Amino acid sequence: MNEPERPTPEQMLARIRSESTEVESASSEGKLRLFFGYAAGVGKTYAMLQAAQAMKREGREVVIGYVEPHARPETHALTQGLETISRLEIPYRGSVLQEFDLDSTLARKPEFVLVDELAHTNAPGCRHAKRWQDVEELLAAGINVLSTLNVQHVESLNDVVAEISGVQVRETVPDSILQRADEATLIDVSPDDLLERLRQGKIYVPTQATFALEKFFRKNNLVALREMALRHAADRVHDDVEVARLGSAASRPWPTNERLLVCVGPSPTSAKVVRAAKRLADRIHAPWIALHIESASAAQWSDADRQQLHRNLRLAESLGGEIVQASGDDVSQELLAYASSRNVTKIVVGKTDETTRRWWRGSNSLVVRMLRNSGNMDVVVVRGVDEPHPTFTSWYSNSSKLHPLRWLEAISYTIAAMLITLLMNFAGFSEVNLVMVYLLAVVAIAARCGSMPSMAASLASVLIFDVLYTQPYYRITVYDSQYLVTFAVMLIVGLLASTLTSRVRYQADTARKNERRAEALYRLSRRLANTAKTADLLQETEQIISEVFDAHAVIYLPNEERKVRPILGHVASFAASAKEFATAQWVLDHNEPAGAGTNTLPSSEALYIPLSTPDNVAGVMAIQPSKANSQISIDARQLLETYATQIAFAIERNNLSERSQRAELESEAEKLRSSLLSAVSHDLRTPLAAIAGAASSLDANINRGSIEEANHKLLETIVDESKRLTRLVENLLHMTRLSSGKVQINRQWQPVEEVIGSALHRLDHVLGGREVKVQIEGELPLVNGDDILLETVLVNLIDNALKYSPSHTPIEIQSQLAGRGIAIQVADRGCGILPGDEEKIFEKFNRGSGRNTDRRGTGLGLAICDAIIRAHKGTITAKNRDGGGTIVRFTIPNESAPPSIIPEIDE
Amino acid sequence: MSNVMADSSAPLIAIIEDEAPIQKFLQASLQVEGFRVVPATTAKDGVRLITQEHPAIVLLDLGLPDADGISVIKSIRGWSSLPIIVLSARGEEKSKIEALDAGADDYLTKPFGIGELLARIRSALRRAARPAAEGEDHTFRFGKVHGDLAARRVFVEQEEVKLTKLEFDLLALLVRNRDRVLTHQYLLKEVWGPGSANEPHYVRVFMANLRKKLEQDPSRPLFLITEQGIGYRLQSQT
Repeated sequence: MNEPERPTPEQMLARIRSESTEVESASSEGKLRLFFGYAAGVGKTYAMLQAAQAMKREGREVVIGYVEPHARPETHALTQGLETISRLEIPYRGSVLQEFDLDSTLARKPEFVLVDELAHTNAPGCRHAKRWQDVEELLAAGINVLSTLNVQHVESLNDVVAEISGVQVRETVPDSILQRADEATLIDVSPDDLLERLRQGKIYVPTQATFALEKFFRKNNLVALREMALRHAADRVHDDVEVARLGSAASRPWPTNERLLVCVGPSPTSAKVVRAAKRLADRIHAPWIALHIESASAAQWSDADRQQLHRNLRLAESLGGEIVQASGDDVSQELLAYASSRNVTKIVVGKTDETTRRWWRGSNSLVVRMLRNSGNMDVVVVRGVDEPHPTFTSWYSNSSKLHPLRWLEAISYTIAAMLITLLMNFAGFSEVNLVMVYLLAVVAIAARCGSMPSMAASLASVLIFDVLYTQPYYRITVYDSQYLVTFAVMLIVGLLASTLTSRVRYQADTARKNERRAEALYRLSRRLANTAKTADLLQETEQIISEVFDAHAVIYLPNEERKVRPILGHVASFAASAKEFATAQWVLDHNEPAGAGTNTLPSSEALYIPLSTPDNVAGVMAIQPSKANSQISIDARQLLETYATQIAFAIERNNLSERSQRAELESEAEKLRSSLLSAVSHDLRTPLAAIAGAASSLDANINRGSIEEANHKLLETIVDESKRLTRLVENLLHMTRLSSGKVQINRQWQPVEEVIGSALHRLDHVLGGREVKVQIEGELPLVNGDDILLETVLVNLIDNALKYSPSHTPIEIQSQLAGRGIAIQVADRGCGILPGDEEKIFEKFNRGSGRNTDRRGTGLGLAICDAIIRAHKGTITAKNRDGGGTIVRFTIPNESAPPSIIPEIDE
Repeated sequence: MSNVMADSSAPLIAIIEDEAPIQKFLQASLQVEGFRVVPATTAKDGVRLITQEHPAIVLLDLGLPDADGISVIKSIRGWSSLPIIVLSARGEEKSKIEALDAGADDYLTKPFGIGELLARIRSALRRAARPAAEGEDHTFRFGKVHGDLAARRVFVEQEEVKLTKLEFDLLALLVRNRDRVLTHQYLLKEVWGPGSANEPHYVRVFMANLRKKLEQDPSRPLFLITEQGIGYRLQSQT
């Protein structure tokens, strides 16, 4: 029995997940369709526009977001008939740059949008640094995007392309966005045809790039690029096939349990190693980690080194790697220990990485040690290639530049040693002792001033000793070769001492730094725990952050509508700027960092980090380094994120406790208010009941002749008015209960006729002989509502209709089906509503300006109706009626199907 | 009251009400109508009064200072079936239902006219006097509707109306308790049986059917009256 292999449950699960995420993304996120080529001019934009035209013919809504304006006539012709979103014009250094307008497109929200040149870098002042970020936001907003991309812009292929073509492409697109493309179409022509097109001038070449393109459009270049594009497309197809194959239970297992680790250092070549690791990880479908180990050698790094390391780590992050930083003395040992703790199967290291820097270690380089100790892990060695790197000043690093005073101190130590040895020489001490004094000075300098001064001092000591105390005196030459041993030992001891002491110093520095951070974190958490008021908490936090990071810190909190509140009069001046404020809002909405040093809104003055808890963004923290033009390093950012979590939880906790306190206060106030109200209404109702009763009693005597006919009308007025006052008191009571949300809706299934009937019955005495038409359309379902409250609504509406229409006109009540529920409308032939008042009349104490103001009423009736209908999740609207009059219509939705009535079996 | 002229054979009405204005108006109005009245302003006084004076009917305010009106009803029902009419305000439907369930005969929502009150008092007194005769008269009439409970036949004017069994049972129950409020739960239990408490919509739907068959304008019924939030009443006189 050769049963076909079944996928394991895990595989099935992975497939279901990937399918379900597809379904999800299909429902909420837009789809990305990429037109992929190997060089400019292969016809990507043309193909994209053709596709757009075809979709438009199918009746889809296609809009041009951005297509290169200097296109060829054939291409331009294809844009005809498609709606185009106007471009954003951004003034930049005297000229005007045209950019894709993200906000207009988001507002327009078309079904499909065309955005040419995915790899484009946006002009400064746009929200995102790169166009692919714009596209991501479009997709997140549920807009489908069509875009174009050349192979040399793919981040992970970037350096390979550079090697082949000799042109370093700066505009890159992370592989992640390629992977999320739902469809990629390869646009291909042969290199010969492409060159022919170029000769005919059919390829758009920006003038400033002519030189680079000449270099680019060589046949062998094009052949290589084409191969890369084809291979990349084939890889994609392979992936799709792989997923499909797993679904159909084919024979090969899901590739790996592999995990890849790449070492990242401060060398520019590390970037290449990172990219190579990413490609390898993709190929074997493995997750990967970028690890940096900070060893003692870090003490000697320049600012530029630190910046480069930062850039390398950021690159790894943008390529989808996990970033880990650790510290330890022995890089290879730490690295292997970490690798085995995470079950890493392959380690990628750069060949030039450490060896060039540590020449004295000889064959004992990192690579060699790794190979020796890696056990069952594969070690992949990649050759590094230098990349140019821009320099900018660093912020928050232990500056390794030595203060000039340190050199002075070192010199003075050396001079002191010289003077002491001179004295000792006079006193007749032996030369061995003199050597000791110099060594002491060197060690002291190493401890106090660092390694460079101490190395210099050890050289100087050797020279001074040579010149002063060895024959021939006052010359550098030495007669007695035995002294060479002394010199060598002096030098070696000096160098060793300086290396050792500087390492100790570095470790002490690191320890101090860590301690400072730990202490600050402790201080923060203690103060967060002790602060009850959010305002105090924010102030404390801002202060601590400012101290620890030497920066201005501002914390923004959202209001109920999830809008960030601007902070005025803050010590940090940027807090009041509208632009910065917009960045904070973006961070709050997207729960991602933005601002200076990131790719989103990088022109902001500060870095913005969301204060997020697992289910909420409690606020946004903005950090601006105190020193101008400095940047926030990656370890500072990691630390800031730790802080952010702590702060977020503290804010959340305070919000909760403030909310519960407020709720408690409110319920106290509510209790007081309702007891006051029921007391007041009782006190009002009792005399009213007595007045109405007494007057009716007097009126009844009219039949016995004990009262004059003329007084009958007066008594009737007293009765009617006291009843009206009673209704007013009831309305007031209703309103306060409803607006405090304390009324429990007691939903009952009931026939509509009954509600209408009981309302009319209650108004019998007011209606008199007034004509009322009731029309119920067809068989209506039972309606699920509070009988008493619905009656109140109808009583108010009918009463209003009576009040505001002439007595000879009928009042018409209609009911019909509305969705699963019902709608009831009350119509009169009265004076109607002033246009524009249709909604205002449902506000409290509003009687509608179109109505006679001498009519009686408090304007509470409709507000109560509105509150009751809202509580039933229905709607109530008023409008003028054709031919004069008002129609008020309300709906009561049924959230579930009405209960069934089991029919009786008739005997 | 010096001008009281009611003779000693007139029915005695006990008014248990703590509000002086209402008390005053009730006393004056009822005495003019020829009743004798005894007032009480607390529950304790009220119960004592009833045991001593043996009134024909009790008017009871639900909001008394010393005790809940419901407990007064319960204590009276412990030894007497004399009619009790409850006086209460709108918005107290829950306590009205409780009062009716505890054994009150009827209720009136303040403010009420003297006409309404007299009608309720008279029908309560009529019912109180009737129990012995109940088995004899099977026939009934309200408006154009008339019928015979024993023969299970109902007519509107001369035309016989076909009612289902449950419709008839419901109508019969209302007829037997004419002019009294019957709560939803009571009707459900009596007509549909004790297991039907969770399906109050049955009563409403069957009432709607009865109205369609018996009332001239079912959307403005004259006899089968809805007491919103409480139950139904068959109003035999309009």
